[in-house]
Amino acid sequence: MSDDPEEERRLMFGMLFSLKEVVARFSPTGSDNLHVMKTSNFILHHFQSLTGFVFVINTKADVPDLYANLQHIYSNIFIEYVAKNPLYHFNGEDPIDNPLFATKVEEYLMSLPVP
Amino acid sequence: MATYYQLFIINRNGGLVYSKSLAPTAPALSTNDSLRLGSTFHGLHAIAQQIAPIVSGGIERLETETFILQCFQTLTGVKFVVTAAPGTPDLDALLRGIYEVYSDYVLKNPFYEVDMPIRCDLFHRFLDKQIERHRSLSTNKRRSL
Repeated sequence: MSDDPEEERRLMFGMLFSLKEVVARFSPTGSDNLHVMKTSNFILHHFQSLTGFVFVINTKADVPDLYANLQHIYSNIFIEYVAKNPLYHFNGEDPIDNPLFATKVEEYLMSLPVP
Repeated sequence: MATYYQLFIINRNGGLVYSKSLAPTAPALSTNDSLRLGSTFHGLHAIAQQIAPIVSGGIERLETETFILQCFQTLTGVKFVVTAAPGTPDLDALLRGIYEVYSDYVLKNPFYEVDMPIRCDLFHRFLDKQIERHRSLSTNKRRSL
């Protein structure tokens, strides 16, 4: 879609940040807990952990809410393979360079009964 | 119970032309806040179209833990946005109904300047009627389910 993946990442980050602010403003309780953003052709599923990690999946329009799945990826895969990895140094800058994590996530996503 | 929280109408340039609180539980927004929210949403609507992995329109619906937001964009770029409690059905039917009232009592009003804030008396009256109608339709539907 976009010729520049770096640009796409920046746009996505900026959009999510503003979107969460807007959600917090619209919400009757002030919570910025976004589950799903739908357009005519695709759906963006979103989950944020209490520690601030944000998990996002873009899917086709016919996929139901994947919030619980994102939660599973966080608690069962991310925590197990990344956070509990003694060699993992969180400095907020580097992307997660953990091949086992990548494999596990892919396995899990493939196993979902989703088109 | 169909609970609507707020209604916003945003013009083609992102400016807010109308906002209305539809429930006492809706967050209280000052005029400034509503204006800012209107333009921010207009911008995000466009960005969503850009970051889409495939060709797509802008934001149609946001679902969060505490509310749903539905947006209907007309062919001329006017956006009708409504927020409601989670599980409220038929929001797009509501927005289309509001669009009808808008076309009839705002656009056809010879004294109305396009893209300016709406101050048409008949619009306010018929809008309230339209919202009430949809509210009771949705509530009755839920009860019969």
